[in-house]
Amino acid sequence: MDLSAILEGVTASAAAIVAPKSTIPGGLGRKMLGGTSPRYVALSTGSLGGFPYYWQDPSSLLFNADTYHWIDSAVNGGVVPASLAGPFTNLAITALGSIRFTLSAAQQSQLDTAQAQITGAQSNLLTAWQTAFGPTWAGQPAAPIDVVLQTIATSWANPPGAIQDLFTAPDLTALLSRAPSQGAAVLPALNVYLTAVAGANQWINLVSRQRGYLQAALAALQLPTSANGGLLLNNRSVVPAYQVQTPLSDILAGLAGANAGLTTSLVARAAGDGTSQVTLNGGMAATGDPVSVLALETQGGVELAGAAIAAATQPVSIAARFEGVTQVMFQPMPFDGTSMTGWFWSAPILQAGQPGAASAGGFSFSPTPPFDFSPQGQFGWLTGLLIARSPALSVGIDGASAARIAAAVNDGDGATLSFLGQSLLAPGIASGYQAVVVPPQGSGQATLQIAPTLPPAPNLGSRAYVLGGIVRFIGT
Amino acid sequence: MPESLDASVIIDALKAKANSVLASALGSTPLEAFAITSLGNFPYNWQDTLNVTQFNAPTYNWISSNLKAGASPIQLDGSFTNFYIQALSAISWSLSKSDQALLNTAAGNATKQAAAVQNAWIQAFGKLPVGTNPINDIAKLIATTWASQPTTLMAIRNSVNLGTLLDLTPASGQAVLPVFVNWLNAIGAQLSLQNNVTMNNGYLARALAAAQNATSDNGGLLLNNGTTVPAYQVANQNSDIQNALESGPAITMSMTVTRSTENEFTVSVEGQTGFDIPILDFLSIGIGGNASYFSSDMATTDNETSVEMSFPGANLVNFGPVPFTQTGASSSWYWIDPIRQAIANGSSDVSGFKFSPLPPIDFSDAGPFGFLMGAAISGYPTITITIKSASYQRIQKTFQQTVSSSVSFLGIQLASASESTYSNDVTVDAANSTVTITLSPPQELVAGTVNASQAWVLGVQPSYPAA
Repeated sequence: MDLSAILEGVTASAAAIVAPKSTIPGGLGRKMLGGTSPRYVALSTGSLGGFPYYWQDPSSLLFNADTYHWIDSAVNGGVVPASLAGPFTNLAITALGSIRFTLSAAQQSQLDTAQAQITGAQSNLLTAWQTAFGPTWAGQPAAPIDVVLQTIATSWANPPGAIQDLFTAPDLTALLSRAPSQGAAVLPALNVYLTAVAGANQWINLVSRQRGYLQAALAALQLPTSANGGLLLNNRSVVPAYQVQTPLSDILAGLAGANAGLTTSLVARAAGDGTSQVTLNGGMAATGDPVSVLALETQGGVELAGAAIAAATQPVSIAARFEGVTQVMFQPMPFDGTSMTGWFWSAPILQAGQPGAASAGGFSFSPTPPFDFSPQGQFGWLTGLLIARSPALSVGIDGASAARIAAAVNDGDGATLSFLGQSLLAPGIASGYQAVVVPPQGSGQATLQIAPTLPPAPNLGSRAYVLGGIVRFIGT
Repeated sequence: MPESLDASVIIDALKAKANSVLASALGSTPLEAFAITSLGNFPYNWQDTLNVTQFNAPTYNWISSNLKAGASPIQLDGSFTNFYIQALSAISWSLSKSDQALLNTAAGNATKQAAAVQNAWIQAFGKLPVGTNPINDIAKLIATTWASQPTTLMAIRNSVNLGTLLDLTPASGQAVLPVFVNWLNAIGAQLSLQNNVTMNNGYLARALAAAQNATSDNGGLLLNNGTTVPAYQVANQNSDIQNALESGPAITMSMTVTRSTENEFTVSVEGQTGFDIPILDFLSIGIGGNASYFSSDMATTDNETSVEMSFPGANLVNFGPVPFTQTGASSSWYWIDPIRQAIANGSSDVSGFKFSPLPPIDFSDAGPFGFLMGAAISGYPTITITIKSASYQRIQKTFQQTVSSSVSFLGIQLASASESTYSNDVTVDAANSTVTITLSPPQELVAGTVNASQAWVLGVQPSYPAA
């Protein structure tokens, strides 16, 4: 049976707590995500375990390699919950390395047209010059057009300059203030010629510029250095950078409880065959094994909580209170064409993935990468996480079950506790739990309160409970 | 470990209990039954207990094993790395016929555009530059005389502002530039195709080298026997494993044992239908010079015998190979994507990773191309044997006269050396002619802190990454 929908629901509830911070126009989340409000999804962290939130090594202030490898995980969006896979940078190398930039047939035609216009304008300029001054280039080794422009640049210009000054002059008439009177007939042709050359520039730059940026972004991925924005880890390796936007001090303060908490209310009703129908906050419902909702194993190997839920004749309410719900925001370092640093450049991938890209000119795949770029595919990356300390639980259940569970929690160091399939006793989260039973009022249910004891002091190896993550895909 | 069906029943029962107890930690990957081999149970102290910077070699050998083909319960076999090397070395990245044709077309276009550049040059300057290869000579001339900082053709091809780079372009060259750019476009049109051949085969070679010749430079892992090997990682901290073995939940299993024949017991697990098992494959207790005391004196035809086993400190340990990271100088070795792609591509005419030759490996979940990514472990069991017998006093006396016992269960020697024997505690119920013997493991078999310490394996999470 599948309770993944409930898991998604809990993640959504947790996300609602931080939504005001992440969706303020121009705020952190919006700024990082290019205008799209972040949406947290439930994550299956697999062997990566909890999040090593201590991202800055206090002894060197370098980036914690464990944190880096965690956030550099590719995300497979084709499963629920979304699962973390190998390095995203590997996929990025394959993607960017498979992109070419080419001119379309129309763009090549533009270049041909530009060339014809320059040639024509050049011919007209030489004709006008010859009419005014005669063939002054005769007998000179330089090409006629070079002789003419050299003369204009040095004799007509005030102050005298180089030919290139003619192409960049903000006010050509003012620059050529020393032009002779016969030159007036030449100036219109000169203007047309300079305009033709300028008109060709955008096409001339296009190919090398786009290929240059592509090559630089790929190089920053394949061969990261301090010069192209590479990140030095505390294991002394240099890697393509991720930027964590949330200061470590904020994370520590958040986990310590400074932020608002989250209360998740579940109601489980027996659904036959040992399953329970679970309702989240009075709305969404899913059916699954009650052990997947709440499990308490005693040191003696007896599972108490799921069994009690399954055997309950009345609905069992479970309120989970997560303290220290904290948002950690980060992103792959965007490629910056000005400084030629960073590596993450999604625009070429987006364009290359468009239908007909191969014949349209611009960026296209050649060869086609062997993965799916859609939100159902493997090319997902993380830009944020919701983390928290282990939750405090309040369970409305019959008095006898409450007493048994409380006794097991309080009696045995060996008891293990899990909520919605995630261990609440992961390393670094909490050192243990204590339980109290509030007797029933009249004929009602007892309230079993299970609360974590104080967490251990955070350190470089500490990990936090992951409530969800923001996953991005190309075009989302 | 015997591979008989009989032992499998008990192993399956243990696995089922562990699945239930550890359900919350297992996620979507339930445990499967596991039968130990010569590698023994799990040496959980993965950090050398005297030098935590080194990985414990027995642990490495255990977690880096591949899974024996067709074995049920799952068994460790040889080295997974060997299969991986065999598979990866049979892979290369190659172009499809259509992509090869694209390259040929691109080469033809480049030749045509080179001719156009020469014509434009002649039109502008009257003749080609002096030299032996006109297009190369033109490119060299542009790179060295049209830029105030002499540059190269490669820099021109990737210039983010060609106009600025070629700041000394003469006026006569302005009509050449558009044609020259068309040539640049042509010669780079299939650059990504060309690069993919070298790039992917290059990464393939690096991953293979890291698997074949692991060093500290390519992410190799230093073991406490001084060797450097392809890296695996354990998700659980060593101290957490030890703590869990001391305080994790216990898994209990109750069995009734009757003597069906001279050589077999009939065992019923948790009241289920009994099955026959050879006496030596089930439980052996050596005491007082008698190595087969359980079968000769305890579980005899005339006695009623029950055995309860309690495995303390059940917990899940996760581990796996360290993924190959392409970036930088690259590191580690485990790159499964090319193998998956080569399997998917088969003999199809596509650009990508392909096998040549096809390795004689079964990549399916029948094995052997698999490894463990998790193991549910516990301390060695405490065994409580209750016997109703006319000879209960003799049995009581035998145990009372002996401080320790050697025990084996399912063919696994639980303790035999004099320094690691099971201790016993005996009680009797004279009214019912019953004797109860509790055999407790030595401390090092519960949460020992030496490199050789092993934990009982209750079940495992297998991974067949290319299946």
